[in-house]
Amino acid sequence: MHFDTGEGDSHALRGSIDVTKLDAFRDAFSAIEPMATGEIDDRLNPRELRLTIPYGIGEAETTIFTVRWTTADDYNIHYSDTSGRNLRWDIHPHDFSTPPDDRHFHPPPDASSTDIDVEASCLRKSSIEVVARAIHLLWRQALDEESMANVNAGTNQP
Amino acid sequence: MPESAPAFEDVNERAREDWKRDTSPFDRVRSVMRTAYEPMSAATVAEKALTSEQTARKHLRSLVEHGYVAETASPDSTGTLYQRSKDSLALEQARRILDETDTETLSTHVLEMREELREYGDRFGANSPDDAVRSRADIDPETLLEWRTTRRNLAFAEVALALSAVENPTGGAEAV
Repeated sequence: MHFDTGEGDSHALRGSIDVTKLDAFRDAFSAIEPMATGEIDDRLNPRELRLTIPYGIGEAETTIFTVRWTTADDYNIHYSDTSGRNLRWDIHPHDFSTPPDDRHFHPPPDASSTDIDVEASCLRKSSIEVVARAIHLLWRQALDEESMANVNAGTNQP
Repeated sequence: MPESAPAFEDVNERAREDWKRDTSPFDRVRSVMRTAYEPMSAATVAEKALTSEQTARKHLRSLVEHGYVAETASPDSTGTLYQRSKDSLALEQARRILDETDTETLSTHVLEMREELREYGDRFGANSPDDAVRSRADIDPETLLEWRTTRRNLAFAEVALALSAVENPTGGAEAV
């Protein structure tokens, strides 16, 4: 199943989906979250990686990260859970008013693509290993806080 | 449920520190090179792998010996550049495909993907996605992504199919 970015054609990722990068993301994420299982949607003509974790924030029983990553290093990293929350960190060209660069964040609870909702992303342009670890840190913070309020703050100072 | 979340001032910095703490310099150099499709200097690899240039160079030499990384001379010939070996990349993906798929499914899918590419070619009057862009065909970015992705994936699937024919010469792969 593919998630719908709801953004239309002007927001497509550049390059081609890179299955080796999807494998690398799975390897990096699984190394720090042993409960996560990762599946490539179709090994023969892959489009996305789906990481499933059997627990989640608050009442959520399952957490899912759906990752698309291209040869040009554009990406969608989409979070969803069984409590119906959605949000997404992206890098790709867009025509939202802000932020000015390609990195941006679609906030919860529904990964909104409404112009005034889209924010700057707290994730710098980094290697797959670093981004996978950063995503895990942000999610762990939300788990502790039982809230998505600071999931894109990029800082966790109790 | 895991213990409480780590504190961090900047998530990007903390992720880099954790990566460095949990892995060896060799692991990080190999990770960087896994998807290094463009040639890079040892200094660039070192910076990305959070290690010294001397250490990066040592591990790069070892990865070259094992066929994981290829060396190229830099255009201004000031030093050696490194990138992922294309043979090694194609074999990595072909092996994964063969581990997860039987030959019959593989053959069927390869035919379907070839057909899909033929349809794109006919529809946009171009031999490749880049060709379509150059000739200013009316093609939207999402279709371009799909075309490019199937093209890349078919290349790996074709390697897997050829490999299965070599390893199992009496199998059904020669029918394709």
